[in-house]
Amino acid sequence: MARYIGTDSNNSFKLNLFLIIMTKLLDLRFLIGLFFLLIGLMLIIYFLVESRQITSEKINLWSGLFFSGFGLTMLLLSLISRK
Amino acid sequence: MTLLGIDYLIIAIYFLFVIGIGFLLKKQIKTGNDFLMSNRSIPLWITSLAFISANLGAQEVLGMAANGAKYGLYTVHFYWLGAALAMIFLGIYMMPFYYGSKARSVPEYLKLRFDEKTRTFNAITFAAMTVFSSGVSLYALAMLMELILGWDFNLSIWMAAGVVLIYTFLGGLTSAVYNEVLQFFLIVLGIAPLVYIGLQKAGGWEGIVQHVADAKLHVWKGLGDPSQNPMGVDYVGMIFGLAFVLAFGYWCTDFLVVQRAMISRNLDDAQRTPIIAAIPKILMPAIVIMPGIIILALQKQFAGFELPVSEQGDTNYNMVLPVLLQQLYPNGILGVGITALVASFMSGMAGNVTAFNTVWTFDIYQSHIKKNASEKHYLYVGKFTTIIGILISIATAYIAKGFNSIMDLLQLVFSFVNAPLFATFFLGMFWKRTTGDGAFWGLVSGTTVAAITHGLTGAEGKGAWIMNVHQFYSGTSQAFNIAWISFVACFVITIVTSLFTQPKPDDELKGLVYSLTPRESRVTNTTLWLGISVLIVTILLNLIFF
Repeated sequence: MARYIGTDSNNSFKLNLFLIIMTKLLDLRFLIGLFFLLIGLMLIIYFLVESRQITSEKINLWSGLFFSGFGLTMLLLSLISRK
Repeated sequence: MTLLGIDYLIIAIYFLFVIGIGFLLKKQIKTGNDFLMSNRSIPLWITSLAFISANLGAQEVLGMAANGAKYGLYTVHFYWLGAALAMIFLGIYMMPFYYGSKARSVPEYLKLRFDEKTRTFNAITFAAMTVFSSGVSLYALAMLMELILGWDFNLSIWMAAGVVLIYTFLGGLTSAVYNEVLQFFLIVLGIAPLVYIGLQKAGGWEGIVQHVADAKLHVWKGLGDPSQNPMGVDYVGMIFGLAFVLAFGYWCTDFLVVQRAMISRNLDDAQRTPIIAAIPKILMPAIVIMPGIIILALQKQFAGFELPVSEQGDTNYNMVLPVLLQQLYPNGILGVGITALVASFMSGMAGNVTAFNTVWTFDIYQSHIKKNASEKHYLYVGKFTTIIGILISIATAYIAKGFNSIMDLLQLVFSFVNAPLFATFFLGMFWKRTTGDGAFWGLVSGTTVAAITHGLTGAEGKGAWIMNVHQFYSGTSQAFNIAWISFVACFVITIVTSLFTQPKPDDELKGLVYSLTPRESRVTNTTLWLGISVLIVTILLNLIFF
């Protein structure tokens, strides 16, 4: 019985999570946040892996950090929104 | 300019997101109203950013940087004198009539206020202009990508058009608007680091002052004499031509931008949309005009910042941003910069296509071809029109490649149509005696006078095809002066014709004319104070850079 209850609650959790993600995907703040977080992280990783030695290319790091920060802010705004 | 894997990956992720937005919104689209009007359910912050983003196409991003280099800070008049005032005016005075009348488009408002022929005249010229602009945007994108990245012209055209088609076809106006907001952030955040690095390299503002001609670093100084400012414009042309007629004509009557406010959730939001949009708009010169001024300072200090010159000796100012991207951005952020440019072209194209399909479906198809069909039917027509709009845009891009002079001519003809438009709306909204015949003949006369004025005046080797009565200092000055002359012609002919024709009864004009609209449904105090605040900031900026 406990096993069934656990499965139900697990399924219900998964269903809720799925519904939340689907709802959030229609929230533009979530999409913009995701986009800039992704691009920001890519720039940071690219800086660390490829262009760290060249001082003039620090713009990749700063831009990456700024984009990530902006992306995270948009994601947070979306997640704390009740809708 | 050589792109690496990281740059291509950023471009690919952008394409994935814009197409993904279309797929996510697909299920929300059930009726023609959802597809063409977003069911009037878009939140204020999105409509506000979409409002300026719809105008943030390639012409704005590349063109204003070019104007910055050519005319210096005088270019900010397009923002601080033209756009800001017009957007405040639209929000406070005109939006109650557009939104309150329940019109689905600007031409439909003309039908309610005047008659069917005025609406049809406006709808046909507008529809033709939007697909033409969309095609020119596509052509410019393909040319630029071929020039700076060596991409195949055909590939660029079909790829960009294909992506715009997918997301507008699937998600309709909502998808276009969502993407416009994403594109807005991408353009601003993609170009802002360029301005920062450029400014640093040029020696900050002191470096700019030291290396750029003083005439290009003022907004008002030198306007008393057109020979003393790089734009070749005087006070009359600037204030009446640009600020009053062209800017008000564009921001207050062009359905491409007004549509973004008309899909708000309520009248209050619709009124605040252009006013809130005016806040980032007055700051945009830092992103779109500054690169043009920065490059002038860099040219004096470093090699590699020269702009290409044509065989005729004309400097290609449109290359300001590509040259700066090439010289200042390393790979990685270069991918973001190129994506920002691509986004600006796609934003301009999608904005035009969505405005085109709304006007075609509601104002031409529903009005003249098939009335009273089901919502489902208009949804299919809207979707089909999207495909047709994209195909015409592609055809226009190829025509532009082969016959540049035809495109110049078309652009000129459309500018004649646009110039007097604001007079018609202004009289229609604020003088209840204005009649449909007055509006129609006013528009026709204004357009004719614009064409004749162009034929009688010349500038930079253009115009004066009837005879040369007057020579302007620049093409810009000629355009500004033609605008206010045609406005006056439209204004006078509309009044005279209206006085001799029968006006609509007052009952039919309630909610469409200022004097017949209750004061409580005009504007709230919050919106009014918001407008006044934006106005004060705009005046301060004009004074600081006087």
